[in-house]
Amino acid sequence: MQKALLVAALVLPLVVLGTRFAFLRTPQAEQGLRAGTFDPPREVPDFSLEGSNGRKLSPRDYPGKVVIVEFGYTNCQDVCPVTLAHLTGAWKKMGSAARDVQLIYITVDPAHDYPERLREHLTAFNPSFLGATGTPEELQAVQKAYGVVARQVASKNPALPYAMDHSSSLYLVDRQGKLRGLVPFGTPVDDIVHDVEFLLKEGA
Amino acid sequence: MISTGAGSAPSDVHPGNEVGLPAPPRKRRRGLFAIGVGAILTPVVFGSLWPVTFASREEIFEIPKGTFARHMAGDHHDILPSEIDLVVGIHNVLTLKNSDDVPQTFGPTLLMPGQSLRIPFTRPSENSFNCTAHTNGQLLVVVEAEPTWPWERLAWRVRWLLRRWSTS
Repeated sequence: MQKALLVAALVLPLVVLGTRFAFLRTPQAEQGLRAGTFDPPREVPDFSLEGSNGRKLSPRDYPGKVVIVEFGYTNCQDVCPVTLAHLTGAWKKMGSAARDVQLIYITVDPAHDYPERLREHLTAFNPSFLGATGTPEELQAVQKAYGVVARQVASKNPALPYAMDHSSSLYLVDRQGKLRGLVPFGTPVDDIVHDVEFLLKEGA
Repeated sequence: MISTGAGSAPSDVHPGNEVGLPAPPRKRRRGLFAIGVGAILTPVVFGSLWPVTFASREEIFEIPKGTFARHMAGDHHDILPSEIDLVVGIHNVLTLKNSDDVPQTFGPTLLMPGQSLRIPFTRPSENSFNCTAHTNGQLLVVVEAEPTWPWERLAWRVRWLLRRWSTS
């Protein structure tokens, strides 16, 4: 009996460890984007908004570049600063390749986000980032075209009159102007870099 | 002891049980006990040691043709699941297909008729998406870590069975 218990005590941990490690999968080679991908990709929904560079801004103004479209507002306390910080990190990691990438940050709060304010806010993260604003009607049409949801809610910060609940994903547009990917909020910098570089190489 | 008749061998009954039904013999009781233990232990051992597998990494969620028209006609019965469960690494890709005739909003994006959105999930998380195909406008996507230790596999299988049971 004691012998049987001893054997069981030796064999059982081996069986448990064996099944733990024997079936661990090796990571598969990555194919394509790490972000959500559209199939088939459609033309990026176009718009013509007032840019923080003082000119009219459209995602189709950048043929040959990878365009990232983000929706947010400068008074955002939680989502936007994190995403913009991630994008700043991604730009640094990409180095010179970032010259072929353009961020367009479309405000969901046109009452506060004038072009000058957008420029000042975005330049603090990266001077190449561009903001876009317009009338509430123009911006609602753009939100609808992208499927973005934005609504005014009470602010937790008493210094602010209100906050905006808004979609927090990034939209990846390839060099041919096709909407290719949807990057969820919180995606690590490395994953963003991977996807942008994938699109850059694909269209090179 | 009960005799079955003249010349016949005494039947195998439990002593002192002359008036009741004959009790099973000790050997038979042991056999039944072993079968019972085996019936419990086999699924427990199998469920703990056998790795969790799926036929595909992909979970396809299709918005059927006519969904929008049905909602507009006042049919608010949801034919689509309100929750989708995924497992990191082995069943972690959600493919949304819009087979309806109109664009449908899913999460932060718009899916055109005939278009698909393939979303890989790489971390355990709970994601609530806006979804115009649902009458309540919401779809919950629960992404669990891959169960790799035996007790994790067993717990995962129990949860899976409970979910199946609750949705059936």
